[in-house]
Amino acid sequence: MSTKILYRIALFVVLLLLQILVFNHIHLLGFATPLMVVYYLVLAPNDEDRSLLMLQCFLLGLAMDISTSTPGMAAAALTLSGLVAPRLLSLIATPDRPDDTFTPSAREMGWGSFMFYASVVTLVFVVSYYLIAWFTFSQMHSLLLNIAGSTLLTLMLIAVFERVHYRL
Amino acid sequence: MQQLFDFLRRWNYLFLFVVLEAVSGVLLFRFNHYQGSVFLSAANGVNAGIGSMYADMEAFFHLRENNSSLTSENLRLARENEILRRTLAEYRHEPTGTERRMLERLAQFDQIPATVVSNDIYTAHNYIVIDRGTQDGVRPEMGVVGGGGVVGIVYLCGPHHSLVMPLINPKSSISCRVRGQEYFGYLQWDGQSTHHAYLDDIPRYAKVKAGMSIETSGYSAVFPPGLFVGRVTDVSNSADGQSYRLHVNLGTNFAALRNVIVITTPYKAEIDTLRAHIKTTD
Repeated sequence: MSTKILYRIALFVVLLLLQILVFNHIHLLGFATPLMVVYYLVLAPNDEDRSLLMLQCFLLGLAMDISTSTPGMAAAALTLSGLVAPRLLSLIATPDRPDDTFTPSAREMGWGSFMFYASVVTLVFVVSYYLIAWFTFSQMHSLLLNIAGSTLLTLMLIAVFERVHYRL
Repeated sequence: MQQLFDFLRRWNYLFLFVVLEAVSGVLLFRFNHYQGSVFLSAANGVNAGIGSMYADMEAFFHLRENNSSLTSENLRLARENEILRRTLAEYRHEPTGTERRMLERLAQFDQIPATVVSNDIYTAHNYIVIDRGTQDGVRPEMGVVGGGGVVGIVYLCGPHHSLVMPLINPKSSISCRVRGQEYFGYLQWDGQSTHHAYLDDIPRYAKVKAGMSIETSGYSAVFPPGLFVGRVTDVSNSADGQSYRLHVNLGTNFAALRNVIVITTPYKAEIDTLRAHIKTTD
């Protein structure tokens, strides 16, 4: 149990540092930025307390916001994603027994289900994040391009991370 | 109570979600200039909308007051308009031939212009009320004329108003003559048409034809002689067959009487004194 918590804390710190130090500085073609903090949410176990998960998401988003000095943006988007993710997981991956606990991964769920789950959660996060950041529909073209690019790049990175994880 | 706690426990993550989003929102709008300004302008728009709605509502509740004040204003303007219109009509008024002749004849007498404020013409005993009284110099037994001719005689006076007995009152009896001839009689009204009266006691040897003018004789001291009264339409025998009865078409249209003149004959008092003297010596 404690190793699980330690693992979560380590994941939190590592993903946050990666996001702040590396991914925030990537603007592929000027519109695709990987938002890897959502990976922390994707990897949340299915028996995680929903309130606790949301609080973690809020703190992670807030930490990322402080580093970019845009308080509230990622926090709001990631909290929203934290609200919907457990419900999505219970819809996409039904355990064999009702009280089975598991951590979402390609190994546990299979690549198809996992990537589908990751895609939906990532999309929710990226869309809400960019909507809050843009705060207008006047530049629809640019907004959609940013959302699509960032979602794809984030998912590609998640797949790479998952692949590495799978091999281990 | 237990149910309430169960409810709260079951949905506590939703409450937490709302709280966290609220905190995020506060941070977002407080520390991000762009989002803050968009939020502020939107909030201002909403504020202005609510303000204008409130103002509309307030205006709606004041409609009754506005309405009554507008009504009184309207009444005031209507009265002012009426006064101005009447003044203008007086200035624009072009006297008819009869009127001009009458004014010339009246020039030597004191005249008091008056306006008819009440006018009965469809009863058996018609009376007219004019807006001049004793304070304006009007006294009983003064003559009243209008644009079309003789109207009647002042019957009673109040301080500001007077009652006039018109020609179309059965009690009215005015001494008249045929213009150009000295035969005279008393103009009487039979209570029928307001346009017609008759003149009795015209001698049978008088040469009277339809179309001749009837004017005041001047004998009564109420009217100066020569004021137009009406025109002869028909000549018939009087009831006793001793004299003619002249049917007279009256010059005054009593149904449309508005502006009249009260005549004060300067010698009336003198004549009355002389008459009284005769009565006492008899």
